[in-house]
Amino acid sequence: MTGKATLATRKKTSVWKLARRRWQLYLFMVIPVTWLIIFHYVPMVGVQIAFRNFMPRKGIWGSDWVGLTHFKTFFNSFYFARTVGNTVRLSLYYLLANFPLSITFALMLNIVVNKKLKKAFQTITYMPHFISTVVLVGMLTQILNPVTGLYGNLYRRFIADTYPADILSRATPFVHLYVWSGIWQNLGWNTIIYMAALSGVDPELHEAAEIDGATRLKRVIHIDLPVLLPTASIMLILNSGSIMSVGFEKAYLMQNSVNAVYSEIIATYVYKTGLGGTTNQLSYAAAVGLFNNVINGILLLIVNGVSGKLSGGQNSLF
Amino acid sequence: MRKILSMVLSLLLVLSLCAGTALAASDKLNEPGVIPVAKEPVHLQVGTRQIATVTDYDDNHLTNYLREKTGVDIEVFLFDNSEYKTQLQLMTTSGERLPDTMWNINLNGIERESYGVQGYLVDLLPYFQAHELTYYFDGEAASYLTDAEKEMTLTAGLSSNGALYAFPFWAVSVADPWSDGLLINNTFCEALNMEIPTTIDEYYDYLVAVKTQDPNGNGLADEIPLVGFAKSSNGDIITNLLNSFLYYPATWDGVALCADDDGKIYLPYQQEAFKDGIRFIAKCYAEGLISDLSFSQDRYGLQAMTDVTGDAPDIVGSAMSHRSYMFASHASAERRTHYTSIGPLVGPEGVNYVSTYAVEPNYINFITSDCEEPDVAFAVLDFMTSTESTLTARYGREGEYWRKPTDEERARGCSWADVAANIGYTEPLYITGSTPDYPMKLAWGQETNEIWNITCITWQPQGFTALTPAASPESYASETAKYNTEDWNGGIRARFGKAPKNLVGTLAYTADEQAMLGTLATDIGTYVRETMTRFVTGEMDIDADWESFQTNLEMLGVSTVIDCAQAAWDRAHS
Repeated sequence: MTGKATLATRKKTSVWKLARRRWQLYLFMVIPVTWLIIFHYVPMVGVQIAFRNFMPRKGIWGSDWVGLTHFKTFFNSFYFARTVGNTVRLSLYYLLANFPLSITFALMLNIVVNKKLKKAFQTITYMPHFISTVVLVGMLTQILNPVTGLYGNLYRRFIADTYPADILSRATPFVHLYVWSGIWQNLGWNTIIYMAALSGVDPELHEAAEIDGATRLKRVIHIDLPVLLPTASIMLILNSGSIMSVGFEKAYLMQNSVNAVYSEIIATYVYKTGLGGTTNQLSYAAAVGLFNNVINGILLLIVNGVSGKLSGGQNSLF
Repeated sequence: MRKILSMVLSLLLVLSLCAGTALAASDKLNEPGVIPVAKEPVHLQVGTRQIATVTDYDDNHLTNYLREKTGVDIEVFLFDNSEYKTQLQLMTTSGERLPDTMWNINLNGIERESYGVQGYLVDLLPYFQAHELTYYFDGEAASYLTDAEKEMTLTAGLSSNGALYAFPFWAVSVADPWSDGLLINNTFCEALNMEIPTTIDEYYDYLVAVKTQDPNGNGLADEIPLVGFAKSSNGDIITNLLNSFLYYPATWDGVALCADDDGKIYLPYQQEAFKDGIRFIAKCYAEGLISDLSFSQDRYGLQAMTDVTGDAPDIVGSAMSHRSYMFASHASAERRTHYTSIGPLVGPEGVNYVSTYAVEPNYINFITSDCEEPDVAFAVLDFMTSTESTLTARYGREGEYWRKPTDEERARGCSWADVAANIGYTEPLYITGSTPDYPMKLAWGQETNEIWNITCITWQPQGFTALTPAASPESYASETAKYNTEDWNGGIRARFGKAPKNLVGTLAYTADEQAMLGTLATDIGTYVRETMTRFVTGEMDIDADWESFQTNLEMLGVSTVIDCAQAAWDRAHS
């Protein structure tokens, strides 16, 4: 009992001592911590409007408390299954397609010997990342127009006399368009973190393997890939924490009455009911958004737990 | 006895007049009808949505005109043109001060009442009832209204608590409710040796002929029999064609409430005739007669297909559109003469309605509770209902953008003589377009510093828009202009009045009803639009999936929507 207590006090004092000795470092931390508190923790007080009938004039604390009413309405609503389903479908698809692709792409880039070629590849693949979503969707609409767009003109020149089907006014292609345009846009950018990890590989390992007669592919599998694994699992955990928060802008911009079956996600629904529509159901929208975040949190904990178990506690966040 | 009574009454009348003038002559304002309206330069902040074509709001001719005539120091506060509602929401949420008066803030009835009840907007009904600051509103402005319109000007804007949170303005031309419809390519008709279709069957034959017989004669099957555009009822193929089967109001993703002749509320997508209509449209789509772009492109997409230049052949056989959306300059585009506006097609059961809406004033100009001089703000709005202010706000300054008609033009009578006669006018009041000997500038829709490019600050009821001179053959600037105007008017005349007796306009719901309705209307509207499109594109089958469609509608709460609407309708029509 006493031993434990002394241990704790000793630990405490040592942290405190450490902080006093390295106070400059801690001073640096004050700014981001303040930022975090002001912009991320203080606004959480406002989450309570999900449990109230929020009236701006009455304020957050003055609005009537209605408990779980808004959550019940959402769970019973027609849009519950649809928005949750679409959100999960879109982000799982994106994650499953994007995750292995960016690792493969990083490995491929890594074995390019010519330095200039490598840099050129990297820069070219980064570039689309800087195109704004609005512009990207605008490009998609114009290129894919079956009458006036590139797609329509190529089709009529090389395939048939008639106009091709309008891809944007079909429901099913939406998911693929969404995911693959996203991958086109972000593949290069997503490889950055893996490239950084790969640059940390000890060249001696490669030299030794080469002497032992390992082929280039063998070296990738046995040296590069294991080096990437910890980074990859951390990335997977972080990504799964945001599975339910698919980018709002793109889905909203690409939405039309035909693809709404697949494109109505939680974020667009929250926007429409809360701010964009004619209803201004702020509390309801807040409840839907809160539900979304709670699921995100749970997913993060699950994946983190599983990853920690599998790697014996090595590859997990906490 | 009677003598005493009449004396008492007249005494009361005199007293009330004195009280009236005493109030109206509130120290800041001049006598009614005197220009400038305000004695001293009161500062007034006007919030309005920023229209992209207006180059400068502060040094704008209309702003300066209003400053001069009202004597009020107007400062313009700009809201974002599309995100203004969010902006307003954020301003109120964060307790920011609102502009003194807000113009063109397009709140619907529920939002208006919600802001009003929360105390952000001033109830203007007492002003209208007192008749003290309503010099122009009760005088000039009222003379352009029919009795029915006079009655509804205030009542249609009342919230369920009996308050009037907006200053009503009328901006509905005779043509507005009837301006969407089909335009048929008459050069194609000629090439195909066909008459302009008038029934749905003839129209179907025309579509097939356009697709198969190469009417533009370039040897390619590049013709598009029918195309419209999405996200607006102006180019909506589905609801427009449905009107040959049953009435469907003009709405993109609204609930589409209808009322039968006895005032019973119903929804068109729960009727048998709806199925027939959808079946026909789905058949056309399946046979490749309707371009699928109609469901994804906007009006500029349509314009890119019709407003082709040079020798490029026409490819569009018929377009569903507001006529002015097909060409960048619709009055002078030569190719516009290839298209003929037609009335609604007669359906197999003889139905030929036009997709339209209930004509109502707009209630989108407000005085906020933050305004320190609501009387002055009200008097400014009242001044804006005057004819001169209306014409200046809609067209620009007199003499350059509009003028009074000449004697000869006056003698020709009004452009819509019957509509003008309804309000007791026989002679035209103003003329706006260019005539060969009197060129006129156009500010509307252009990049301009002349006007604000909005109509909600003008007093233009249907009767008023009829008061332009009737056209004579010499009054057109060119043959193209002549064709375009005549075709436009022909289309309107063919559609005019083809709607059921009862049209459901804005309904004032009580707080309880609003709580019940919640997001139902948005949810149902979106779902119906999506399902209609899927029925047409063949992703769903109107017969096989009808039951599940109806079940989903029930789940979404249509019966609640109908019940609440019925209750609100009955309150307004009892």
